[in-house]
Amino acid sequence: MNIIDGQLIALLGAAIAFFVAGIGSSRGVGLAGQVGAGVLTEDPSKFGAVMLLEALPSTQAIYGFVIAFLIIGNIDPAMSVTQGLHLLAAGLPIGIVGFISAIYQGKVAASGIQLIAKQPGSLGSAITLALMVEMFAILALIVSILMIG
Amino acid sequence: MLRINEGDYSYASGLIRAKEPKLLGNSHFARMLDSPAAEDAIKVLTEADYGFGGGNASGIFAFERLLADEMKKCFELLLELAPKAEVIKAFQRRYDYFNVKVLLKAEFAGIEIPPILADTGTIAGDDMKRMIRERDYSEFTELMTGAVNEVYDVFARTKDPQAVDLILDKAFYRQLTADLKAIDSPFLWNIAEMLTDMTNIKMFVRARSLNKSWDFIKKLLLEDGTISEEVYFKNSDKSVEDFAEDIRKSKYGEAVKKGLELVRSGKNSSGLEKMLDDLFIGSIRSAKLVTIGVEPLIAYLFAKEAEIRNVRMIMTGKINGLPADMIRERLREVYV
Repeated sequence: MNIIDGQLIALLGAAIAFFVAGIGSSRGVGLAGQVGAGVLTEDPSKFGAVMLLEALPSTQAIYGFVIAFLIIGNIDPAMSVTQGLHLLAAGLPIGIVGFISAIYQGKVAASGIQLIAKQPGSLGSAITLALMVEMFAILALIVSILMIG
Repeated sequence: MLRINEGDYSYASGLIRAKEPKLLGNSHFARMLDSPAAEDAIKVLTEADYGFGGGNASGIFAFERLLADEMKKCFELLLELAPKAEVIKAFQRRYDYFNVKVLLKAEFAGIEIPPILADTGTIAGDDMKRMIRERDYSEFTELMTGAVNEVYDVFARTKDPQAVDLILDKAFYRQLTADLKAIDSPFLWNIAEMLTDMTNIKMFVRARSLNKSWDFIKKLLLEDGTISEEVYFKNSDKSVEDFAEDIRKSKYGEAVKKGLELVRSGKNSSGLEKMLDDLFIGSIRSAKLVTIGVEPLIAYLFAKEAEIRNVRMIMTGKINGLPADMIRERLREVYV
């Protein structure tokens, strides 16, 4: 019996969608968290705003999770290699775009945290700037969904 | 080459950014200037948490202690934050060289009373005293050991106390350049270059106004500047205005021209120093665009130094009863 069948390939797609996007989110949130901890050492009253900005890059992991969930839901034990490859391809957009956008969003969030450390009234601008990066992750999520069909 | 891993500086950069709004700004300086007496001006400093607290800041002359403590506090913070202490130590060595200078001068003058030493160097004042007394240079850098030996050698021959300043000042800038160029950061390289150039320009203009010869200037000139020795040589028998014209195209051109105008108009005798210091702080401001890295830390150090310089100017001016406007003109630009 052939070890590599359609089902395994589709599972790989689910793994990529979640793992890669998840790694990106971990790095983004991690970076923003470190900068945030620095700001909070000096000014603990900023906790709410720092937490909000720090959490923004975590959405990519959630999108990756959604796609992984949808791929797993579409897996059929009898599926062909071609069908498996389709699902693998569907995992790539959110995996790769999620990875990169989460890291960059983490950087924008870290800068935003520094911004509110200096100007507490700029929380809205800081969030808006970070959300700009979010758009690409959302587009990737839509593309992945469309590919699953 | 010491590599800077930016990721190591995330926490530090965040903390420094949150500290920046607490630096004293023009409104604080204005309050100090407008306060009726020096005692009231000090209150602005205690409100801003200057020094280590403890209420020993009473009396107007205690402010020097307060400023020294504040600088020490700043270095302690940065050493704690910086993953590589070498980056901060490069700037602390200024105080090592200062202490060596003070100790050697005291020794040559036969003064028994221990001189007041800076507390902000890489080697503590008391240790430094012992090391110089016992000729124990094991903790000195190579350049520093060489400079100290040279001072003993030259002084033994010439008995000229100026040699102490001359040799150690030059050695310090050589050390700073060597230390900073050994770190992989163009931001730090630019600092080394600017500090060297600015020292040369200030020295040259001062020497020219005292009509000193080229031999004298050449002895003081630092080697690692971006303005070549030739430019200084060519202008060593011309007026300082000709010199300003010659370096017009360098990044110091504008500042030197404006500074000399300030001096000539009689408004501010230290106008050149002010304009160059402002230019330097201006170039340090590029650190504001860096979210994570060594830049925010070093910029904070220089911002603190500039702030303390301004506070000292205000306090001495107040104590000596100078008019507020005269002090205000001499204040340097602040980082924030």
